[in-house]
Amino acid sequence: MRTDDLITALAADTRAVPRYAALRGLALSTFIGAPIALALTLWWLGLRPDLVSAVGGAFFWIKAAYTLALSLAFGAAALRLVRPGARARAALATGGGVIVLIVLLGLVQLIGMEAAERMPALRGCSALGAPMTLVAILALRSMAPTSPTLAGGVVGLFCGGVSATVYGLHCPEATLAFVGLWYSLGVMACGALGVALGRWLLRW
Amino acid sequence: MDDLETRLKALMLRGLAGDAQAHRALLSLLQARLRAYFSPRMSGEPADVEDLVQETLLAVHLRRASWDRDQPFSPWAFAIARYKLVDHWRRRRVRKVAPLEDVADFLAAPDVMLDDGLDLTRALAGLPSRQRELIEAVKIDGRSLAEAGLRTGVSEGAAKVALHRALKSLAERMRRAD
Repeated sequence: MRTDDLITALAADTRAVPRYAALRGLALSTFIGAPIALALTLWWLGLRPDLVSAVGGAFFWIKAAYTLALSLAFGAAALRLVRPGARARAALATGGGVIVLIVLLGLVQLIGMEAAERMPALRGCSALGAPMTLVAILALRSMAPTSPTLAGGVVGLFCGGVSATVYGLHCPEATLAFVGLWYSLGVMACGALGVALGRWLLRW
Repeated sequence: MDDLETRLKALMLRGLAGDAQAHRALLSLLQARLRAYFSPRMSGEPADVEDLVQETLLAVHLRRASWDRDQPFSPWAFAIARYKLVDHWRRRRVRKVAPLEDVADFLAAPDVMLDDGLDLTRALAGLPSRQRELIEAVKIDGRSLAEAGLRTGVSEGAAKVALHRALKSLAERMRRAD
């Protein structure tokens, strides 16, 4: 088939293309994925018993600010990584820097902590974020990441940040050491899932 | 060069608004650029060059929503071409690197002669007969979709959907070729 014929066929398929396709993909996956995470928290994990008093304290909001900051930074990076020719260094560095900061602050507190409740946080964050990661990867399939693996991973980190925020409604832990380690690992587990899914589903 | 970028971007913007003439002009300008970019990097494989040009044009068309309208057009198109070239080498197990050359090089390289693409012909032959007939009808003297649909016995709306699906499936088949 001649290239001119192909161009004719492609031109026949012209239609108006709406703006902000990637942003709408991420927003859609948040509107689907966050309620799934919330439902899992309500019916599977249960809300933390002291939620009402915890909302009045500072650490509840520090945890939420940390995980939301992660999702903002990695969400911004994901929006760039699904576009050919766009770079995401600043957004990736911001997200990575936030993690490093919290982990360092947490290390200071680490001495003398109990071992209980740790694995559940990793499992909880990743289980809550897994459905959203799948939805987000599917929603971005029409984009064109020139590195499907990296883009998938960063999409997973974005979803992990959102789901870790929801997980805060269940988890009563209130130390930076705990959040810095186990929440971050939970977010990274979603990133790893995103890498695997991206390799497979975001190629083009 | 900057002049070409200005023209390409203007055409792309009109194409995204649904202007088929502009979209066609954009793809025509782009095919020469792509051929000029691929040819020297794939010496001795002229048929492969045309396959890659066609695969890239399909990607540019099907994934045009991934272009940010506030950004220049050429770096986006160049990144797609480079991705397709690297992917082609990977499939052929060729160990080469495509440097992130200045996009200016992509815009300025001299034109090359064109050839027929073999992969696309093969991919087309693998489509369901309905979709294949539709593409044949549309490409032959650029029949309108309504006429093409009439020939294959479906409404214009259904022909529109079927054509888009057929093009997506062609892109997927070409990517999985060889």
